[in-house]
Amino acid sequence: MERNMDRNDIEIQQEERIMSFLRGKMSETEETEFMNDLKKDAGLKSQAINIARLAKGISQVGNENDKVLKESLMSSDELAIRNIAEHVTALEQQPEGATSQPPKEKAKVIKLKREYATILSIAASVLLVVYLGFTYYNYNKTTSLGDQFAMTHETSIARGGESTKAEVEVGELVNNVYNNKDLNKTLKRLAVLWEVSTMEIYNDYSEYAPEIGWALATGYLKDNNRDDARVILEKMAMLYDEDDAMGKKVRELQEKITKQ
Amino acid sequence: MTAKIPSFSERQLNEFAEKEWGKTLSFLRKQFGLSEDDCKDVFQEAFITLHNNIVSGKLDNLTSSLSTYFNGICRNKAYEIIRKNGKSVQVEDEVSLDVLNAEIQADKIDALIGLENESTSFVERKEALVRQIVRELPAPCNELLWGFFRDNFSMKTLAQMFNYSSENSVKVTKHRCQNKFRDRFNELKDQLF
Repeated sequence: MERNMDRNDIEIQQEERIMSFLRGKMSETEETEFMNDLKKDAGLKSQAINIARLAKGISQVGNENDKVLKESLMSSDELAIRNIAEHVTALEQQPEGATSQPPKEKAKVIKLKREYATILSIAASVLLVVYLGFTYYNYNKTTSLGDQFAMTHETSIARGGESTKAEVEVGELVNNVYNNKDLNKTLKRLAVLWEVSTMEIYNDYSEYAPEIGWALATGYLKDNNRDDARVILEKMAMLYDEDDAMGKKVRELQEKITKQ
Repeated sequence: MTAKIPSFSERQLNEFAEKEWGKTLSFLRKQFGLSEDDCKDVFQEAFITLHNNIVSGKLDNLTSSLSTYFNGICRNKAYEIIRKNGKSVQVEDEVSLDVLNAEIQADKIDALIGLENESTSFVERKEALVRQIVRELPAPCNELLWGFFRDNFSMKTLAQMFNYSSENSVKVTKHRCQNKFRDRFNELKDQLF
């Protein structure tokens, strides 16, 4: 633990040196010394490359975002801008230093008469039963939605011929969701593949993005996890048009979830 | 009755304004001691100024991020309010100086990335992967890393904007975020390449 803390401290110190280089604040001599140290120290080199890579990525995405923002500002009139500013500043902000939890109050000790205590405990039990019943009802509705929809998409996996490693893996994961097999592990893997398959760079999984997304969304529903299912479906709705077969299914399922 | 669906531009601007308002409110209160109403006035006027400057072409050669520029307008408006109210508030101008001197230089970035000695196409694929991760950074890493690398805010400003107890806690959290980024990058890189 102590060794770990030392390592972090060293890295934080090194980081200041790396940032000083990146911001062009080093003298020529300091720069030469820094470049020499990079050749000798693999840890420093790896950290410097990591920071440089992150800085470049943020700069590239930031430039793209700012370009869109500038175009949005250009295409809006002053009234619209004023409305947005007024609307946003009217939104409730968390007071400074506040947490989402209500303030703690001193606990009050109340002595209850035995009969009141009995009545209260019965009422609490009834409420608990009602709550559990309602939770189970919701659970059933959500998971059955997953069951119902998991099988509705005609998969393009396993079309015969030579199968790629990615195709075999996705096919197995889709089947796992369909058969409720290793759901937890399957969903974790699908979540990673969903991210990979929807990346802007074409990769082995790009072609299977619809199958992966659909299996993941319906798998989450089977797992009674509506929130994560919604997130996946929202992204799918952006990727697949209404006219597209997958786009239609996605919207249908979104609607069903909303109605529940 | 149907609800009006916001246009793409409106959504973009709303998102930007919401993010900026959270940061601005916290920053202006701590740095300038302004009331919430004054902060609202500053923000609204600054947003309109940003729009007007874009439309008039004043920002065609802007080198800083829009967020940094917007923060600069807010700071100027805050000074105006302080002057108008006749208040004498001790304001450290470390922030503006820091922003002006802190631009990360593209050639230095490339010098470090170049240490890996990889082919251009491989470097480009890695860059695309980085962009993907950067777009989906979770909180608080998105706030700190963007604030530090994109907007060039100092640790002190980041602490004020995002309610950290000290500059040191920002430093430690940011460091953890960088490590998380590195781990995520390596994990996905192994999946892809």
